[in-house]
Amino acid sequence: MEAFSPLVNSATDLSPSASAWRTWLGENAPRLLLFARQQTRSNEDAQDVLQDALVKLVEKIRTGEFVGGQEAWMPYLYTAIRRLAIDLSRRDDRRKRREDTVGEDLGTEQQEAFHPWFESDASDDETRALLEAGLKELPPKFAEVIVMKIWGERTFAEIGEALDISQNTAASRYRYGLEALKRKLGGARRKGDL
Amino acid sequence: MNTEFQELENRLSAMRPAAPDDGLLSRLEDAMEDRLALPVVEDARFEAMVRGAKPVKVPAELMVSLESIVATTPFPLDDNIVLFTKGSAAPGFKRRYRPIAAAAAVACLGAATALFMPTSPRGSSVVENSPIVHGKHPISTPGYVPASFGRNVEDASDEGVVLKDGKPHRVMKIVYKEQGSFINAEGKKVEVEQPRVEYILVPEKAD
Repeated sequence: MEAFSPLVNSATDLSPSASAWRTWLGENAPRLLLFARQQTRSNEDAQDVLQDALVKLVEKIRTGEFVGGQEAWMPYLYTAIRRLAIDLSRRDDRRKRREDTVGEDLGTEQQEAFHPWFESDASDDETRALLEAGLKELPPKFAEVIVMKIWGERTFAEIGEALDISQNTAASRYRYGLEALKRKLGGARRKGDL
Repeated sequence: MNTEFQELENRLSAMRPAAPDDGLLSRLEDAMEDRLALPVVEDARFEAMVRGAKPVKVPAELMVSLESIVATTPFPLDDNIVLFTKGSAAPGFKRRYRPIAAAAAVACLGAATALFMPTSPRGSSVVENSPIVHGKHPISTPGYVPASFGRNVEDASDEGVVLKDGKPHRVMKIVYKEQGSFINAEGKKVEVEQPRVEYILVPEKAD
């Protein structure tokens, strides 16, 4: 089976399949986690949603229900993450109506500070922090397009399909979101924060 | 009451909608000219700066969890080839019949003729892993004719499920030992023994 040999198994105890999955996850999981973070209210929710989305993909691959090759995995996962996040949000809303949640939001915000969305680089940490804050402040419908376009490297057509909007709407939201983000960072720069 | 209502209506109708901002006008123009999806030069620098921020790496414990989710799923390289897992199994896939027996039956049907066929690729759904033969093969040596042959199935294993033409197929690995003897006009006899591994695709029923 020569077709398998080009994939070098770096860890001798890993099967070729496990090694390939590890490489694939190493490349794509951070992008998916970032999108999940943008779609959910907490780091824990984002991790849950990402895992659930991967379970759905794997089940479809196993049963032969998945349509398309490897290139279709990421669009599928983006769509799955978004749907799962919406479901989770609805469940949380119902639960919150039943429970007394005084102080919970503050706790969540404090927790989020310990789970940054982007890698920290000491030389440019301020910019990263402002960018992250700006992205979080953006209306979600703009932020999700920016996250999918820039870090997910999706086309507007793919984004449109995942979000159930037209390609032009996706492109328009991206442009608007980027302009808004630029204004936010420009404002910070003028104030001397940047 | 009607007078008050009329006054309010007059005030409202005197109001003029705010003009759209330049950014919206620009986007509308681009949409009309089908240029909305094209990159904007003025935004390129800012976009590059934003792109410079790298998403955080996945925490180690989450990575372990993600790897455990995919651990038993063969990684598909394309429609026809998957990388097998260490256990060579695809759990969660309900078996409705005994694919090993079915595959072995298919294999035995072809066994009688297989030994004397050329060892070139067969171009069928059967993936063949023939042993590499160095030097001149006795079968192709002039003057020798086949005297006897035998082929035993030494091992058969389930290697998981692959997709072929969008349909699930179970991959059966069959390991044979082929034995043959050849004799020439002088009565010299040559005995040959070689292993052969074949991968057979058996259509798998799915729910």
